[in-house]
This record gives sequence, C-alpha cells and structure tokens, in this order.
Amino acid sequence: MIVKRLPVGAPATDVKAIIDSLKFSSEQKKLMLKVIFPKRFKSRVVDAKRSKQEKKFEEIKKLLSL
Amino acid sequence: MVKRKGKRKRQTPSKKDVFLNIPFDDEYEPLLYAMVCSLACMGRVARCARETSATGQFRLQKIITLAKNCAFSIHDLSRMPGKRGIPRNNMPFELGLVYAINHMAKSKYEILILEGKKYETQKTLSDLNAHDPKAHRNNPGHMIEIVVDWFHSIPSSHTLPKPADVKRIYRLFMLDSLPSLRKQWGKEINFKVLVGTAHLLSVKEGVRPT
Repeated sequence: MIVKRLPVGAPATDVKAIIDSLKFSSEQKKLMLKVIFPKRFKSRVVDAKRSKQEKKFEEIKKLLSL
Repeated sequence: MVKRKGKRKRQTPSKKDVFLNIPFDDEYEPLLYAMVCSLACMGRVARCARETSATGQFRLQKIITLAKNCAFSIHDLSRMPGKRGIPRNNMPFELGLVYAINHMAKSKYEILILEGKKYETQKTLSDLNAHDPKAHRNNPGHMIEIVVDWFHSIPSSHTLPKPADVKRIYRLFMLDSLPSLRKQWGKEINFKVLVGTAHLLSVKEGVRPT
C-alpha cells in the first residue's frame, strides 16, 4: 500500500498546450467559444466591462488558434 | 545473425492528466461536472474511457492505455452497491487494474478513492483502508472540496485556487455553459468538449494555478 505523499509534479499552467493536446476540430473550438461567451458585447454592457470581456475573448480565441 | 530485441521503454505518465474511474449515469452528472471543473482549475486534464469511443479499441484496452499514461487517478466507489441489489464491479475492478499497473511499473502516481458515505468502502473492500477513502456524500460542493484539498496536499511550487473559487466556476458552468452545450449536443456531450469548456471558463474567470 502506498501511504506517503509522492511529488508527482506541478500542475500544467500552459493552457494552450492543454487545448492543443485535446485535438479539437475547428467546429468544436467555435462551439466552445460560443459557450464561454454566451451574451458577448451587448450594447447595454458598460464600456469598462465590455473592453475587459473583449480582451478575454481575444485571449481565448488565441488559445484556440482561431 | 539473430537480432536482439531492445527493451521497450515505458512511456512516462503525464503529470497533467488525471484518469477518472467513475460511474456514468444521469444521477452522477452533477458530481462529474464538479470533478471536471475542479481539475480544470487545478491545471489538470480529466481523462476517461468515454473520450475515445471512436478509436476501435476494446474498452479494457482503452482503460489500460489511459491508466498507464496518467500520473493521477480518481476512483469513485460510491455506486458499487448498484441499484436493485445488483453490484457494479467495474469501478473496483479498474481500481485494482490501475493500482497493479503503477505498482509493477514503479511509477510515481497518486490515487484518490471516493465513496458516497463515510466508511462505506471499509465494509466491502478492507484492503483499501490505508488509502483513507473520502466521502463526497453525493454533494458537488463536497466533491470540489475533496479534489481541491487532494491537489493542495501534493507538493507543488505553484499557488492553487481555493475551493470557493472552484465553486464559482462550477456555478457558472452549470448555469451558463451547460445549457448551451446541451442545446448543441443534446444529452451526450462530447467528453473532450466538456473538459475544454471547463478549462476555457477557468481561464476567462482567472481561476488557474499561478
């Protein structure tokens, strides 16, 4: 029985590497982007929040290589 | 001249992959989503036999391949008694398989064993007593706390998110992401898409290891 804690390694902080390793089709990538940003860039959203969302959107789009 | 076969090198288990040995039924779904969200926030990738349904491999072979390649595994034995008195033996069988593979290969690995109620496993599987199974009480919140605590107890130079942050991601996933995924995929959501969505959500909300 293994009872002692083993140093099994650090978590993966590179999300791009994780996304690439999952090998998504471009259709799946587009779907995920839509799921993550369901009500994106609505005009009633205040400017500061909107620009923050846009920044995140671009970041995730880059992660997905879209 | 007789060619000598070289010793086949074993692939090192991936430190970011976590093999899930869990039941797949409708009642278990909230717990599965809680687990996937927790792993995503911890910078780990949930892997299970369900993700490779189209590869033509036998189910058992798929499980062996996955178990060999993952440095972590989570085994939920809460559904072992089964319904109508029929026991479900897949989970304890796969746990034995994973244990044997890693033990024989002398690889560094970690196993988390889950049960529904505290001390439930002790009654039927006393060999596991030293592993101290954790009871999730069929509650996604408890599931998140157990998984997050497990990763916090593993030596790491990174700062990991706290259970409260992971619970926020889980709530967002259940309220916003899951209905959209259901609309597109119906009842059977592709497992990889599920995992990918949880990772992207954790990036969007900034709940990642730093």
